[in-house]
Amino acid sequence: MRAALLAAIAFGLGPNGRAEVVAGLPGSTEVCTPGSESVGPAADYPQPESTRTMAARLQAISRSTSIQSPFFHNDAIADALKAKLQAMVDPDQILGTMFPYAEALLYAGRYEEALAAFSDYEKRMKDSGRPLTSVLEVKVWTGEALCCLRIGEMANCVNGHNSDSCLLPIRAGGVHKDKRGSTQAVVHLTRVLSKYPGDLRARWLLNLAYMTLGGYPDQVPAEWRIDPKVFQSEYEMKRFPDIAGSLGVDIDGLAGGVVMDDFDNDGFLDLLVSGWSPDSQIHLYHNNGDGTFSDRTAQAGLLGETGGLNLIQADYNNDGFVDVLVLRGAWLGADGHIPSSLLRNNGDGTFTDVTEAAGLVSAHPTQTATWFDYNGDGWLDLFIGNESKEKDTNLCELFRNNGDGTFTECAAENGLAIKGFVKGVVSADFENTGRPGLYITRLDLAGNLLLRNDGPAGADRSPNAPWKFTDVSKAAGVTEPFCSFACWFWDYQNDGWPAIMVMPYDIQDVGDIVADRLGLPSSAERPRLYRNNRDGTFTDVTRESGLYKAMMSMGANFGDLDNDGWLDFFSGAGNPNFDTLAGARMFRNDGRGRFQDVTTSGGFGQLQKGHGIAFGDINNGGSQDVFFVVGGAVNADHYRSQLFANPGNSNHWLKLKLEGTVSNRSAIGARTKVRVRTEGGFRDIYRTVGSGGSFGASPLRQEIGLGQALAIESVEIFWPSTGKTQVLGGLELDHAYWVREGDPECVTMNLGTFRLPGASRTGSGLAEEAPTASVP
Amino acid sequence: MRVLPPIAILLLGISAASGTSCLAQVQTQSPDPIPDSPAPQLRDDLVPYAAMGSAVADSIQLSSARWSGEQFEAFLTGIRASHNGRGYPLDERAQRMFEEINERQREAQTSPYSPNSQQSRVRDYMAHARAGLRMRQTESGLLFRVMVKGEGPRPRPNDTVVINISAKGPDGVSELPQLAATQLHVRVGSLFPGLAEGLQLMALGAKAKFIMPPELTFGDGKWPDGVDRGTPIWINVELVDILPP
Repeated sequence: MRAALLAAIAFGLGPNGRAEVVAGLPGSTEVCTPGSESVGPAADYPQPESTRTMAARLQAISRSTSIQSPFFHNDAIADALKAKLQAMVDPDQILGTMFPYAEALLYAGRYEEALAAFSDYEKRMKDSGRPLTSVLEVKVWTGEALCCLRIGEMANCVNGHNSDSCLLPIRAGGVHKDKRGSTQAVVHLTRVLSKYPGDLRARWLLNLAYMTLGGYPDQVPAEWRIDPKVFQSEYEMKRFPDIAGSLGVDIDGLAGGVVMDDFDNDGFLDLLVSGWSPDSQIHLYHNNGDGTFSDRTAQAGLLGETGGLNLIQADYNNDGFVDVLVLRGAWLGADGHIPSSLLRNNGDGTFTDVTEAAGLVSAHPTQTATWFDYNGDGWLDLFIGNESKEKDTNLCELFRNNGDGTFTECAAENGLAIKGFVKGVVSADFENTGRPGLYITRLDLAGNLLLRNDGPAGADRSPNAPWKFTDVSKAAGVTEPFCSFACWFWDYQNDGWPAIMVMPYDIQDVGDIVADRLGLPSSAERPRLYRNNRDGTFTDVTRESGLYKAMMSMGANFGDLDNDGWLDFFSGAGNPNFDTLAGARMFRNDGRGRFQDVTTSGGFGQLQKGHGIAFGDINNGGSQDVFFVVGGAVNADHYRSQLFANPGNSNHWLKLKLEGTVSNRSAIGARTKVRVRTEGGFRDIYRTVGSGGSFGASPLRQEIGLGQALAIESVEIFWPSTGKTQVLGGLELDHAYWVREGDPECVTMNLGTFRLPGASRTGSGLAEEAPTASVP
Repeated sequence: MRVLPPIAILLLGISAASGTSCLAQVQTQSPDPIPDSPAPQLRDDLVPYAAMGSAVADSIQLSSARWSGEQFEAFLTGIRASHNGRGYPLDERAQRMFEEINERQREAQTSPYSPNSQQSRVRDYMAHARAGLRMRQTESGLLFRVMVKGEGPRPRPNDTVVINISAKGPDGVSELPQLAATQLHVRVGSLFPGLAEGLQLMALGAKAKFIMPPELTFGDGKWPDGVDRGTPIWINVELVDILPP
């Protein structure tokens, strides 16, 4: 839809004592208002100097963001264009300015004004004897339709939000009460399709509009109707109701990241959520363990920590508390030279911005990084993927952890000063050598990179010595797709060898997604699933796995929805344009090498733009829930984040909190093999400690589905720094354990649980129940 | 750059569009072969029609089918009947013939000793082009990259589109003016398979680059003068308009 915006995106414009019982319910039970931006007065919560300095710097950057930013300043752009128009005399100049003006109004969220401006533009063109070309006609008519759709979305899905809002296929509470917007959208879209019946974007939007009016499929003209079978799930998964509103974590914001982890070691998973606009405040939601969350942003000393399209966590200083890296500047090009932040968890509920003291000041546009101990010294190092574009080179960075709270940048000397528009970096020991390598996705056409860690480059084998990473991308056969985004290593086959999943990001418009869904030719890029051949090479198994589907992926992550021991994944769909309502998609691993689309049956089909994703058991009930940061790139495209509550299943599970002693304390990179006894014999389930995919961060504790296991035979843990395998026995099904590297026994963690609250205001799925807390 | 009249593209397209599975073929031996005689002289305005017929025959390798004169006459009768809206139904015998032809052609194409072993060279070429030029590949083998994104309407097989088109040989440099056209009005389904498929990948206003293997252009049919038979062709297309139905 929007050429300028698209251009901006395309070219980078965007103990030693064991804790016998780890449990507890915090005393504080204050609950924030759903969607509230209130984080409390700053004066009540003094901040360290370093945090205040960073906050001031971020505030200054926010204020200086280019007025030309097509993401954050459409109001100003529209007003400037209006002023220009009023001063113009030349008819050609006026006509040349009217369309960008109408578009700026649309993306400023001034929909009524935009509608009038589009109409005025068409009329003036006609009056001037220059009827619109087909290309312009489609733009203007679709622009008018989008104004109406947005009016409907704002009135119903945002302001009248409920758990069914904007979930594809729209039904029940998702049907608009205020039908004016969608009713008018139908008129405009019908106009487009009457003249251009092959307009798949208009056809898709028309069907969506009828869904919001409760008229789908019957009222959709037959020639443009999309068969409801298109939305059928390939497996009937129980619906996961969105309970974010009930828990007060449905923050209304833009694209951003999430870390779901236990920041205060109380056994409950908390949430840290960011928004990408430079002035967007990071929020810390503390899980109170009783079905409520508290917004503790201010108490945590995080006021002024703004921006960040993505977040990743790790215990970088091995103090037993999970720290966070905030990644900033992505997509913003010249405006994107914003420092990322290292937030040290002080272990007392507060965080300190230690970026400068740690030597991590890096003002390059980025949204992706990975924690890994490349030199095996027990301290987590950091690799950051930066966005380079023409005339703005931002090489990737490798920060070696000095073990004293500081880092040394050493990418060049280790051969990792990589150039490209990097959108995803993940690490794994993909050859099971004990040394973690890297996979790097690039949005430009340079192709993706797989870098094998070959250890010290010379005779010096100390941690500070130069290291050798070898580019094995081509030989391994993992360079595609071109225009890649989110990525992750995962053992989706449970064979002990990490595979690679890469999500695509390249369409012309949403029509390409529609074409693929309808079995028509589509130019959209597809994901790639690369199976590990155990010999340093990989095989592209995308087609046979059922994943050769057009997607426009942004945030993505994986987990185990039904505790069957097979990893599933969720992909959000993102793009700045309002018309890119492609919808998020959830895929279930059937355990036989194929993935089944369970988007509709599970209730995951969020149409609005989806970014950071985390899988984790929010109520310690045994099954993983899914947190989803929803919201677009343009400041008018805000939406409410979601928490899809797991309705439960009959499978068994095991939770492992691993703690390195020689290896890094977070145990990142540690590999587990759980052997269970089943009616059919023994079964092995493999996992690796990490936060999952490159966009969104799941908890570092391992939540492992065991299917219909009869008993746990053994748990083997391979520790990355020592190369030793620790073997544990006597673990029980459906329990959580704390495992310390080298300890012969593990400790049972009695995690508190609570019942998840009712689905939401309109409700579907879970029964309405009062939150209750319990400590087993 | 010479601009071909639309009919030229149409003709070239149909020669390959008929492909390996569009028309029936048949037995291997014949006691009454088709007489081998020079091509008869035709009035100039009828030559294109005869060329179209030849192209259809070439595309299914009719000359190697060894039909009898009687069988050939029956084939022509079927074409006339179809032209008059009274085509013969495709019964089991005809379907069997179809399968035999397809099988024979598959064997010929995969044999390392056949003239079609050029295919392996083409496959290598396409694989290198895909990796080196960062292009995507469809199931059919078509390589493409959308250079300028379009939006909204997509052409359908029966739509008439307005396109600008240019072509180059497999070196990616040598212009093929005989395949170039500007503001060409043409029905999508009438174009050769690669171009018909490629256009359907494009949205209105898009510009795209394609590399088409020979089976998606002129295949076993008649190749235009100056275009090396059996070679991949680079084609750039701009989708200027999709005309209202």
